[in-house]
Amino acid sequence: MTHEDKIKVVNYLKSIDVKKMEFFEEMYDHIVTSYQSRLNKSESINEHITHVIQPGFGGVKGIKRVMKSQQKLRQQIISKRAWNLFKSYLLKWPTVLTTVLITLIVYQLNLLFRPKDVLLVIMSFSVLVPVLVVLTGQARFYRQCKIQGRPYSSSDLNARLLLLAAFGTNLVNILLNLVANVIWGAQKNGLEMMASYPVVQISLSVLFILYALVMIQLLKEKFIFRIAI
Amino acid sequence: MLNFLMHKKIRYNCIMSSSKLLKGSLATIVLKLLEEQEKMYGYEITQKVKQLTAGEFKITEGALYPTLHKLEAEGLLTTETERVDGRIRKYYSLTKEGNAEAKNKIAELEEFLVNLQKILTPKLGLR
Repeated sequence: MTHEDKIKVVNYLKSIDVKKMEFFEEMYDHIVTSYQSRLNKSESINEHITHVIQPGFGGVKGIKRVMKSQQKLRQQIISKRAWNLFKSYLLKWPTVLTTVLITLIVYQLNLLFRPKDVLLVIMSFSVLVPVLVVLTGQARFYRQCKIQGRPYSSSDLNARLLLLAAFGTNLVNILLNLVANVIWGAQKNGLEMMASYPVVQISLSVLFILYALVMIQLLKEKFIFRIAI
Repeated sequence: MLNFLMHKKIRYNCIMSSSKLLKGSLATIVLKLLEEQEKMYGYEITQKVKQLTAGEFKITEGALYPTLHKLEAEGLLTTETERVDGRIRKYYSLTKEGNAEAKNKIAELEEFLVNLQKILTPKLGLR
């Protein structure tokens, strides 16, 4: 197989929007292996893609369907793992002790500082830390891909984790702009109102810290910070 | 001409129904092959099935890959990557749970085939 043929395969995959590392590598290997094992040696790579590869997948639509179903499964696995980690902080021994400890620390902080400031700082850090870790990781991954001359620049797994990391910022937005407005009206400061109820303030602070802990653990387990092969 | 068209239609129907039957047992086929082979990649699985059935069964990639991805998501398969000939190859292998599930599924399919045989050829079943 010539270098030009390999470039044609890369361009073909890019042209049908296969741009994320996981599916790209699997498809690329499939096409190249299939082409190398072809019976009709006079067949060109373009002909092979049109007459063998595409029909096997049910056309370009079929390839995209396989890719999307894999992305969906990946999202489900990540969400399930995140939910299990979160549940373990609330229900499982001894991780539940972490939650108790966090609650006590928040309670103590409320005695030392204004509850509104405590909530604001906790919310900001809990939401920003995971996003910053993911974005730094994404940038590092992108740089590695460029240095190694890879035909893609991102990983689907990392993209799915970014979605979950960005969930925190959306949650803050919804809480402060939608929920608070519905409950107390647009004239009142949502954050201030939430902080004025100790139960709400402590619960929110603890939940946001737990969210950050879950995200950090999830990133540690799954995020691809460096390309191994 | 009419005979030719009818023959073609019958053949098409046979292929369609056998591919439907195959689709239902695809996960079992994959688990069985991986039980014997330790680790395999997607293209290798399609070729192995073709070779074992002398070309009678053709697993389409459009059905195989979603099955592999689903089994992986269910924790029955695990993957590892290797650099082969300058490209990255993804190998699938059975997990501990996958091994147990493979045995269950194969036994289930074998039992189903025995019962199906009893319906299709009742005389043989009476012997």
